[in-house]
Amino acid sequence: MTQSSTKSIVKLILFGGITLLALVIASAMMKPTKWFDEKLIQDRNARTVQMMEQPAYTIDVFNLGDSLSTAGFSPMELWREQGYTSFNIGADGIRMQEAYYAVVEACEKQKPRYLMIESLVLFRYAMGQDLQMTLSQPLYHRFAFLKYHNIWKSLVEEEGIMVYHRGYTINQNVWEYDGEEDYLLLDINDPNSKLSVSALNSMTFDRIKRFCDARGIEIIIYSMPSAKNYNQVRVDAMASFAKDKGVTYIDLNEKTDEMGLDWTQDTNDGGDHMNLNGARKVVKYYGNYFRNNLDLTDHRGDPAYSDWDEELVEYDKLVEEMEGKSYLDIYTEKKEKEWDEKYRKEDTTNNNDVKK
Amino acid sequence: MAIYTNLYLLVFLPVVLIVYQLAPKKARWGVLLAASYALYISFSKYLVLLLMATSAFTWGIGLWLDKIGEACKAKQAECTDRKQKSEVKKEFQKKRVLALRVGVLVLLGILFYVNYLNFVIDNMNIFLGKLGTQLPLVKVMFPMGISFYTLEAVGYIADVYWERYPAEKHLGRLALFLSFFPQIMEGPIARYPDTSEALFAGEPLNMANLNEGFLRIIWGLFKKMVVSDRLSYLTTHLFGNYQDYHGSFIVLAAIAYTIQLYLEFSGSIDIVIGSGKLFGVTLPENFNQPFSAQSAAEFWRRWHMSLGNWFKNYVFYPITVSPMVKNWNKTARKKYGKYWSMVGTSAMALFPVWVATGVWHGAGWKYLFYGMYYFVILLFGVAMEPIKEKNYAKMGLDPNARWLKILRILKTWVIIFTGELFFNAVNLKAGFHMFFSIFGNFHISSLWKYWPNVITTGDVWAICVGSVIVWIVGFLKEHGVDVRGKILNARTPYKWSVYYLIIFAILLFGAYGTGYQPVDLIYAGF
Repeated sequence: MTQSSTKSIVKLILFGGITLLALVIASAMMKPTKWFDEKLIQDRNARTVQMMEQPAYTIDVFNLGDSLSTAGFSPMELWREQGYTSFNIGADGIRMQEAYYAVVEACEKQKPRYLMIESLVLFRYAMGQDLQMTLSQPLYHRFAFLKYHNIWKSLVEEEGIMVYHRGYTINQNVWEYDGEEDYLLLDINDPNSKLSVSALNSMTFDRIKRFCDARGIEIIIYSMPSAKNYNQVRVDAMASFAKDKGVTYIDLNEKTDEMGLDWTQDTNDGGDHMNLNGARKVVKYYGNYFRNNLDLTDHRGDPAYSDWDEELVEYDKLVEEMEGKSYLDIYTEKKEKEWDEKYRKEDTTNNNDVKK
Repeated sequence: MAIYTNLYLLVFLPVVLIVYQLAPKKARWGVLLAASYALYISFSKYLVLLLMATSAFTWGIGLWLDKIGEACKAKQAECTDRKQKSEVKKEFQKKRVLALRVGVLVLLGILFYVNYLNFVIDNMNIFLGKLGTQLPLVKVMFPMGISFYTLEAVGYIADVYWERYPAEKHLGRLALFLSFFPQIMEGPIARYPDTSEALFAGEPLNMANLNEGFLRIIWGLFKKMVVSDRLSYLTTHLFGNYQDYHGSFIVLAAIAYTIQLYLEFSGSIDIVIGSGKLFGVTLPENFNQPFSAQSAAEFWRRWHMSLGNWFKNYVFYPITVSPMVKNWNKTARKKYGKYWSMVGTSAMALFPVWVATGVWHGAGWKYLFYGMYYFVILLFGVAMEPIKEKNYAKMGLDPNARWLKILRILKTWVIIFTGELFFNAVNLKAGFHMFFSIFGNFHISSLWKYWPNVITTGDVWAICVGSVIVWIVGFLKEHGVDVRGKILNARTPYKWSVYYLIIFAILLFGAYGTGYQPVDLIYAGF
């Protein structure tokens, strides 16, 4: 090796080392909740940051999955029903690689008794994206600077649109499902998911299970009622998968009558996701299931959990305010009101000028 | 595995660089070819066979042309007089034309089948439907980069036919030229002598190339991730919901899309050229400050230059010197005078160029309209040129006056924005709807009153600051200040400071992360 090539290699290593060091320092300095108003932090970061802010060791159940899980499970409703504490640690379109780190990060300050995994995440499959995720998720986990990089936007934004209640956002939109009544007999053609669990997802599930087993967390896999995402092939595949992995599986698609689910009222987008009505029924079912089958404590009345009662009041107030509206509607209404007030004021000022 | 993804930048590219460097010099071209096919397979799977077949076919046609040429020379050597030699040449010329036609027709035929057949069937069905019959659509898989490598292959065959260079004897060498992994998705469209030497040379990696390539790559990522990808949310919304908007929002949509397209395309070309440079391969430039152009013609000499050069070399010039145009020129000059002969010649050569430029971008009436839009503008420019000069002289204006240059640049911007409005519209009808809605109910204040909630204030800040930075660098380059050269020639601490600044600007302000849907390269779909 020549002297110049040795010098080049040293330079390359030095450059990479400095980059790494700078990332480590920037990540260590990245403290989202210290720097920013929590309400301004939106999307995925909002759930993670809120999770980090929960008092240590107070959550009984983690609910993990994609938008099916976050739309169909309201922790505030479970608190109202049974007094169990839960948190939605999933996110829209989450994939297993991200799900693993969501569990790891959520467990930094918590030791829940149960981890509920909504099964659609296990069916998600796109080779390219999965490989990208496999590479990027450890980086986002190691370097908070990368994970929260978008947080600077909070400095220039006026306010957040969404309000998160332990990972749940309210959606009261009603858009009925008018397809086949027995949707489990239909075919599903989704290029981004399979009808069975891919080897990569199965491996990542094993990783999550090992992590949970080591901490005494029991995993329960469940399928949220969804006419657009489930059929018998998927339900059977998941039942078989859960059996192989030695975990409990609950399919709510087969229990819609028992739950009293009304597809004309309980879905917000034509049978894909639950709305608040649907989420209440899902939570009611789970509340009973947890009470009858699991070993959880009712924390209602415990002063250590009084923040849940306070949040429930805020949650109910918002539910009432949002009747028939979305967060965006409320935000737009507010902006238009501000606009009208501002320009009425300016018009008045201009008119005064003219009079003068 | 697109060229802007972490899989490409953090895994694929470094692994190829290491393997390339460790491989013996003679085998390095093989490393590049294997890497190119591997990347291609990641997109188009078994359609790599079509790329391989195209390479083999192009190589075969080149050899056939060469063989005919050699046979012609051998037979000419046996001839005793010039007349005989000329007759032999004529005889062999027919064979050469046949080889050229076979090569070009097969290559363009495949392109037509993949890109345009269903469009033709769709339009035929409109008429056939009235007769109560329909042609079935053909199920076609889109091979990534076919529009780019087909033009390179056709250019190669034409150049060998014109004896600009001899045919390549080594199949691997030609295959690498057609498939070189950085440029397969979006170009630039190279000519064989541009890159083949460097691709095959197998020169070892060196710090100068690594620095230049690296800087180019991170600059491209900055353009794409900080500005273009953020803008795409806005343009996708406005163009997708065009019926809900009018006036100022349509103007905003046209301007935003033009900026998005420029920064995305030029940014990805920076990544492409940077990737090539890492291996010591200098790929042709594709952009040269297009928004400094003072006319539509100049714009096209500065925008997607490799495509423009291809059409100039393989369509415009051959038509200009064709017997039909020559005859017209001769006749028209006598009949209608020099001016009309010049306008007619320009029309005859420009028309096919702009039909081809339009449809090259895709099968759709809007693309054809886009091509015709520029054909009309450019032809008008040609026709007005002598009149414009006379008017300047008459009015005593200096055509090089600063204010006139600025006016001309602004006029060109209006032409560009209007063109891109039609280019990105859902279809031609939507394009006209959007265009005419500009003139109804135009209120600048609507922009902040009804600002769509698809991008936030933070996004707008990133877009504006990022665009200004890119504009300043372009402005300095236009005025002779080579910022990139200055950075590369600076001492290491200064140079690295700039690298870190760009890297951390991308990491902090770039549109990426979990839940973020990466924006596909626009030109990769053509």
